[in-house]
Amino acid sequence: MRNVRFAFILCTFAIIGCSEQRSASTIQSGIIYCSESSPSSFNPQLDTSSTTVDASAHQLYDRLLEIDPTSGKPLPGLASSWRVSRDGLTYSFQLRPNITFHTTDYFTPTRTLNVDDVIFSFARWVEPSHPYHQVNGGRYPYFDSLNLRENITHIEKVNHLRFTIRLRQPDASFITHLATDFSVILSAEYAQSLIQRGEPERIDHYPIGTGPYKLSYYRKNQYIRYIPHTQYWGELIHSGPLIFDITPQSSLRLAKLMTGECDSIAYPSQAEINYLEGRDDISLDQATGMNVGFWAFNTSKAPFDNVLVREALASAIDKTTIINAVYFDSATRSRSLIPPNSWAFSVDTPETEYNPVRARELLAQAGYHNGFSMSLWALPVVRSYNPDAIRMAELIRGYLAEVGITVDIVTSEWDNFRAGLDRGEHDSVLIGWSADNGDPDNFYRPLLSCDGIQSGTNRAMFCNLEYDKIIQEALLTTNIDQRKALYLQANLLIAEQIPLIPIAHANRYKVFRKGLRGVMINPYGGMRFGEMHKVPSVKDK
Amino acid sequence: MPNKLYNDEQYPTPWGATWREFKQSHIALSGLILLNIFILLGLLGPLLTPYEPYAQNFQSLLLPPSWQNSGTIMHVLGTDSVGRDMLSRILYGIQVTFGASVILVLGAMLIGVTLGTLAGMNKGVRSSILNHILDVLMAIPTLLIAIIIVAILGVGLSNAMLAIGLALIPRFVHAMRDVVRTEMSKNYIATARLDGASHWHIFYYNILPNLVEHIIVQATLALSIAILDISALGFLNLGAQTLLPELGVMVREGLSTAYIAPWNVLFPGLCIFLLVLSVNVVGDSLRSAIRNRLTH
Amino acid sequence: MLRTLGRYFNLFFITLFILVGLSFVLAFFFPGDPIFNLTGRPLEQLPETPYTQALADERWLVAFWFYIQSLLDGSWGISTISGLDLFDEVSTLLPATIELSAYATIIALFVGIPLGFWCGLKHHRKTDYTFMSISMLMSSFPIFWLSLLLILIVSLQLGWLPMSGRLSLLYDIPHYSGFILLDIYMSDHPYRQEAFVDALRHMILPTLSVAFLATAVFLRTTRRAVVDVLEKDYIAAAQTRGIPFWKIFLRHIMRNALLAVLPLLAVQVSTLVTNVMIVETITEWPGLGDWLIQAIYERDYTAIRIGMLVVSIVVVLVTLLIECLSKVFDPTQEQFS
Repeated sequence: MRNVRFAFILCTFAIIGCSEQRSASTIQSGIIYCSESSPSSFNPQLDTSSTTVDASAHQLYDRLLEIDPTSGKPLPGLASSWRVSRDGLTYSFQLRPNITFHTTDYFTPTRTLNVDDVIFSFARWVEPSHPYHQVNGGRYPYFDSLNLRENITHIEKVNHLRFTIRLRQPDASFITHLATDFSVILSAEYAQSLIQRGEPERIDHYPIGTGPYKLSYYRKNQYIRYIPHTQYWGELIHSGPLIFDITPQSSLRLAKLMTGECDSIAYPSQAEINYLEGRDDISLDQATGMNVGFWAFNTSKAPFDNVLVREALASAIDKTTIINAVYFDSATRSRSLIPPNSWAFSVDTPETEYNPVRARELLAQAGYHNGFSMSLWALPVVRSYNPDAIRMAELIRGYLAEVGITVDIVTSEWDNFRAGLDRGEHDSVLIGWSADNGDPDNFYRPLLSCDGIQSGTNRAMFCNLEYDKIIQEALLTTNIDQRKALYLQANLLIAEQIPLIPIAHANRYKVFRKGLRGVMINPYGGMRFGEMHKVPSVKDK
Repeated sequence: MPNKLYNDEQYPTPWGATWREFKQSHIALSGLILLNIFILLGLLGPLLTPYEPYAQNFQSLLLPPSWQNSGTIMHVLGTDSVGRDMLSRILYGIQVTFGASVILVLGAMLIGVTLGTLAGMNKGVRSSILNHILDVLMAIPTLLIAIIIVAILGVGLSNAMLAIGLALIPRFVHAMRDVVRTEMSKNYIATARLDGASHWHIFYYNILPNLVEHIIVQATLALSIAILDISALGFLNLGAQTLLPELGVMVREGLSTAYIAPWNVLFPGLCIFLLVLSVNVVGDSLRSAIRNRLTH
Repeated sequence: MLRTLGRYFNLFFITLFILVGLSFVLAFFFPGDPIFNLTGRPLEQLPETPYTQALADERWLVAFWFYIQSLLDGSWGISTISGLDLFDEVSTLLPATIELSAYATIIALFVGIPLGFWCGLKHHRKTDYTFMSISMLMSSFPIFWLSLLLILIVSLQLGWLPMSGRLSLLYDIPHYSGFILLDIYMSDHPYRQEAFVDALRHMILPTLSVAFLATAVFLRTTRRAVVDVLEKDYIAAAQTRGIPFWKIFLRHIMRNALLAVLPLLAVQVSTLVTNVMIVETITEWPGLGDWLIQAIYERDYTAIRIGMLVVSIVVVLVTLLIECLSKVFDPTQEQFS
């Protein structure tokens, strides 16, 4: 025994002697992705944050439809075909047969996907009386903010692979909602077995889906391990494990990418990208992002309920300098909520100019001759729409000091941070939004509608009935010009009321080591690892 | 002495003798010079800085040091990711890190020496198990004490100083107690006692003069620990906060751009290293000088 | 000897009691509700037990008694932030920390002490001065800077070694003992050997960073002790009697110098632990230090309480063990002072 052990150790020392890896084994075909934060659950229905979406939507689950990342048009997913009735109120779908759910050590499915699973996945957020509705919080931010629940009258099973959805009124963006990262299909059988075991809350933490990967192990703040779902219905290119190495520090992620400890990283900063461009072992892709970074005022709180104060704050900061210092040249200056590559964008939207003198005057008018002090909550994590909110906050603090306003920068761990925002403890916050689909409604409704307050996406706590009416009207028609005119109206209202100051639309980047293939930027949401695979021979020098 | 009866060789004072031993070593002298430079920089630093340490300049982000091709003489040691001048920040950093360390060591020394002398002069406490338990509790790492203090009081330079001070006091107590105890057992104390000297009298005229050297040696040891710990806590974000140009904080801030601008990590770290080195060299040389004086 | 052992045994238990008491009291000093800080749950969510009853009635002394019991049976409460059981957490993290500290100490001992002997024997000569100067330089490094420099040069510039973690996440090694090399050795993973090499490669940088500073200290301490012993009269006496030097060295110098070094090493334990904790955070070594520092960032008071208790118990235990050993081996020392 002793000899064996000795030989074993000797052997390993012999190997360590040469730093060259031996022939590439299948273990090295595993993909490691350095992500930025821990997901709050593995169900994107419950959480729109990109961390949760990245970790779950495209890895663990499938949707009825998918969005083509290049054209933005819907493609078949779990539903092989669909039809919309002439009045735009009835949608019928045909599911693919023989789609298997994950088999894990906590659940073994006995049947393949059928309409019951689809109905369960919808009913969970549509019906408040559903046994799973209240499980794990009972909030479905994406659907709540769009108020989709009100519009679905019922979902009807035709046979075990065919069903129809009936709407109350036409919705031009309904089909894109079904293709977003959040409209995932869960297993009704698993949900049923959890109810019987009396632990329904496990459904979102020990997920069962139909996606290309299944969850193997999750350790908060450390890593997530996925293994391939070998009976995946689509094409499964990658045979190794997928690992999310949770690394909150941006510089550390970059370092790991350079040493080959990660194959791809989340949210590289602009300075890092410039640096990476010079390296031949790392590839870089970029695309204009469907996102917006902004500074929102808590309009439910004094003095921010006063439009004069909000205007004063808007004219006290110099957006150009802030954008240069925080985004360098990787972003477009925002005029409105939507980026210029959206069809609803209009150049006529007015902007508040940088004018500290006017800011002081406005403050004086509002009755704050000596200024006041306020809290500025700065997003603690890197997001595509804001690579460094803390630095942005420091700059804003500098500008506001000049007009006599003292700023207290608040930042804390991401979960606590959002909990604080949900309770409305902030005076103002630097945060942003990444679109989940290409429809402009996906910016206007969640960010500023009254419903957005409840669902925790309207951080300005802004509720304006006129605004809600405009964006509601914009949904009732499919005529692009009419919709565009309505969104311009909404822009004007935002520019006048200033519940938030849009700052920039950041570009989206993917950086990955050469050898990782099939990387595609998905402008409408989360990472998709199902299509990636690694060419092992290129791994490490 | 006016009456030189014998033409004896002149006996230097103990301090003079120590100094004579000390200056024989080149290393010791260079250490002392370096330390003096740091003290001067710490005192005068703010007068010498070319820029405000907080002044951000978005026209000159991440400039390399002046001897590199793209560097400029305007920023001798380059700039950081928000365009603050590295040299100015380091000069301020010396003041913050070194100054805070000196202050906390002085504080710890005052308390530690007092307690240590009391413990040493009081025989009753000597064998008590309490004493030993306190010693054991002192083995708790500084970082742990700092974490607890931060948890109770929050982060900040002064809390970090408090934590390190608390961790240093026992070192002084320990060292002083041993020295005082040895001195107390010597005959001259007994003589003084028989002459009816009070405790205070014995302490002030007999013990204290013998303590000074030990105190200084202990203080240099404590100072190097204090500098390392203050900067380590700054680095871990448990001490001085982002805005304060503390050297450890500067290393942490430099970390986010370490691959493009390694000088942002290099220079503040180098500065801590040299600071600690100079204190260590002086302390070590002082110790050996005293030892040599006593053996010769 | 038994007497000494008994004394140290007593001392350890008294200290343990004090530490447990401190950790209990800390829950009251930390911000927030003490009951929450002790258990990780608000009172309403706690199961009905005599312990929670005592907490609810604010009979703190009784609660303290139950607190000791709960510590003994491993129900240490849950983390406020992650909701994980603290006992499980600590039992996976502590081995990693011990592993790192142990390897670093072993390296430092095997390098520092022989070099220290060598310098001591050649004291006031060129080799001695060289090594003394080098060790002076080494011991002046701030640990975090040293570790960063190693990472920047060895991992990022040269690309020789990985920079973070304990094992590439690709290897799925089941957890038995928590000591990674042992676990890999015991597992039946198909890529066991590769995993072993990978673990060793991960280990090099953090271990060297910690060992670097410890070596310098051990070298200096040993050298000092050897020089002190050499100046003793009994060495001179032995020399005049014509005993060959290697015999004097083996019989007198080595034994006495080592005995003098041992208690000084006890003082180094706390520095070592601080250094290990800092290196853990820099290299993402999944140990107690990294966890504790994350806990303070997130204000996870239950975790801080338990982490503080565990680390200080380990430190006190090791310190007392070394002191006790040195007392047992060296009867000339004062029995108990």
